[in-house]
Amino acid sequence: MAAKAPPLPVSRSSVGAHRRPDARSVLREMWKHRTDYLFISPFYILFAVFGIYPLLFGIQLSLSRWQPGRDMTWVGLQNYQTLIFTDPELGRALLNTLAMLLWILPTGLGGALILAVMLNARRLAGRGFFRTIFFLPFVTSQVIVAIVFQQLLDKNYGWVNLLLGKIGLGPVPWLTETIPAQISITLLLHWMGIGTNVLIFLGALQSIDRELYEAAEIDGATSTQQFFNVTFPLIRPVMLFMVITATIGLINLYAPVKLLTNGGPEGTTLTLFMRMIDLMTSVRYGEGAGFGFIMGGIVLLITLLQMKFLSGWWTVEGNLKQ
Amino acid sequence: MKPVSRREFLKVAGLGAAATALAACAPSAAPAPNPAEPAAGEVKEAPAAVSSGELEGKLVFWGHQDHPIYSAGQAFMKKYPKVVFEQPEMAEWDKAVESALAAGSGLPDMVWHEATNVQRDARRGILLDVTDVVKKHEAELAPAKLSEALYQGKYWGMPGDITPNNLWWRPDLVEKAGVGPITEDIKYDEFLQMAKEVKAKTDASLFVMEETFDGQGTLMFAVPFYALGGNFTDETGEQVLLDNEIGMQAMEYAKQAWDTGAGLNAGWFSPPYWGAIKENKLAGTYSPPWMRGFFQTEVTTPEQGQGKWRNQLVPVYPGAVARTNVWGGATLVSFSTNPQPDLVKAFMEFTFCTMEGAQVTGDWGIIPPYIPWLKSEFKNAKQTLFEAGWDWTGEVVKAMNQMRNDFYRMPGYGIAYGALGKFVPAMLRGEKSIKDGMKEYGDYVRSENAKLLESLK
Repeated sequence: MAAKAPPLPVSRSSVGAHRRPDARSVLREMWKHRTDYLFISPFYILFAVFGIYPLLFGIQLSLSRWQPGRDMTWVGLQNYQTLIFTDPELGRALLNTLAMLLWILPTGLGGALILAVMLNARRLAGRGFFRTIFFLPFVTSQVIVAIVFQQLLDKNYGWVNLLLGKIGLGPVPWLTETIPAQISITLLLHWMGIGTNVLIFLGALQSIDRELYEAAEIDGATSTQQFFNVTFPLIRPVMLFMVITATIGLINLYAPVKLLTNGGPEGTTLTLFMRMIDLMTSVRYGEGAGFGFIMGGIVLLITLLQMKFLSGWWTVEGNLKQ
Repeated sequence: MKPVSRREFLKVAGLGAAATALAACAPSAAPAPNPAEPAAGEVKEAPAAVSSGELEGKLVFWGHQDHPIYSAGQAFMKKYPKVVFEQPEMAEWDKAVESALAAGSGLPDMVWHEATNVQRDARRGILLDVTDVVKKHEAELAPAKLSEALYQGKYWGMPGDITPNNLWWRPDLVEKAGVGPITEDIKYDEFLQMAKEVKAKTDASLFVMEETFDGQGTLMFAVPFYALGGNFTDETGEQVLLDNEIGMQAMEYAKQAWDTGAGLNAGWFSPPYWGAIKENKLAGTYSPPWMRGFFQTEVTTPEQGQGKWRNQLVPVYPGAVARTNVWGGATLVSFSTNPQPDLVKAFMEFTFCTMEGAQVTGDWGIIPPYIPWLKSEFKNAKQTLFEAGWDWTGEVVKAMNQMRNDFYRMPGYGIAYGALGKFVPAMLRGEKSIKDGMKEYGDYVRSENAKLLESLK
């Protein structure tokens, strides 16, 4: 078969000049390019089976009462109504998750930025070594990390309290009282997430043209002034990307908290995702699916708010104008 | 041979890949309908007595690795050479069951189900009704275990692992403190007093009480709750009863234990927990018989306490109607869509209603509920944990005789047990009165139970 050239892009003006193609001509065109479509079809087939179908099934499930092996019973918005107005854990899990978001996001990203700036310093000896060290937690199993933290932070037998005891402090109930438990989770998440965050910031820092710093130096700018007037504005798009992805990651937080505190003490570290899993494992599938969509709505809302309030951070031009 | 161009090769390869993907997405061929397959809830005829060699087929079982049912499967294959028994390696088989149910195919023939899930899944109508085979042996099975598989007058599984709690304790550590021995009729307040003294003098604990009120520590509430005649729900599972007078009294007993400060505050099965046991810092604990297997794996030398434990009835709680409670324990179930119910029932019957099957599962470490075995061979069961010469099986039987037939492990039991850690610590610390705390706990379970039951309809 002779090679077929892909269809040329159609300009807006040419669309206006011609009749809208009918279904037959679209199909004919597709048949003409069937080999091309065949080669890109695996992705779309997999996406339809593992992406679109579960999504549609989830929507249907959230509007139904269902048990595996039985027909679905349509209940409309009843599952959402039950969750929003009577679920004893939704409010608590939402508050816990938002609270974690409020302190983990700034401290995590801020800490990673500081480390990235330090690693970016030209005169730092052993940069490669430190980069590897910071990145190691990322390639370590979350389960192993959580178990190790659990042992380190055990109130009576953990090493942390043992060391604190040597200097006359503690014991601190790291995992069994609300504030210490939240601090423990924060430490664990920072430890696990710092590697990737540093790596991304480092990439952003290294993409900044050195000439900008040289120009700033000639103008007499100090290192601090260079950071706030050159570095920070130029890495804001990356920062915004990280704020959004970290927010989504934190709202979907599950394994580390499940393993470290199991939502305790007394439900004060229960996250939204943990509650959704609880509903699913207790075979309340309709409510579980509804909970998932409520979480999706929360993620969407927070992301939209972040994009609205930080819209100026998207482009380098926008940042330099500020 | 005509050379194949790169384009032609890619085209054929692409077509093949797409066809494979499409084939994988197509629904699997429906299994051939079995005329013997019962509808959900339909009672099958009792299996005819089978003689050696008559049975044939393949049985697939899902459960944790190193399982007593696996041992029974090997013995079954020996007896019926035409039967193949398989247990694939899998972790979360309960979740796999849900997936198979949703997919409409791929269910195993049998799974090892927690008591709470048996009643829940009987409500869902997904379990095989095994009333005929259980009824045939009803008089030979421990009554308290039978009730766990009963729902609306029918049996939905073969009672598996009988789990009465005893008090396990170390005479050497208690005597080192200059107190004891713990007599069989010791009262609860005397026991707590002894626990304080043992803790003060040897730093060892006579019970486990994790401050998060999880794991083995929950028994400090669950034992008196059961002993006093309490129930988390009524027989139907509809009404939640845990915050009644009995529940509040049981919580009062748990708080008394907490207030002594003498309990072992370590997460159940955590390294500190095993560390404390091996370093002789645990002088006693409420425990079911199946814990023996786990203890024996960890406690492997006399220095760690091997061969130094005793077991006996739990202390006497004022107003108690029993001196034990049940914790854990599973049931062997199959599914209503199973295409070979006769073979499944024959296996269940062999495993828990014959001396041969009971011996194999008993040798593994669980306590099968088959009374003729309990009365004869159980006393010879092997163990390394308890003192040589200590009649530990006799003590288990004593506890078994204390088990109640009116204790229900409906779906609400699972919700209530899972929520103990959320509500109890505040009551123990005195931040909430027992009355208010139990009311809050009861209301939570009531709300969650109602929603669960609604979703099962």
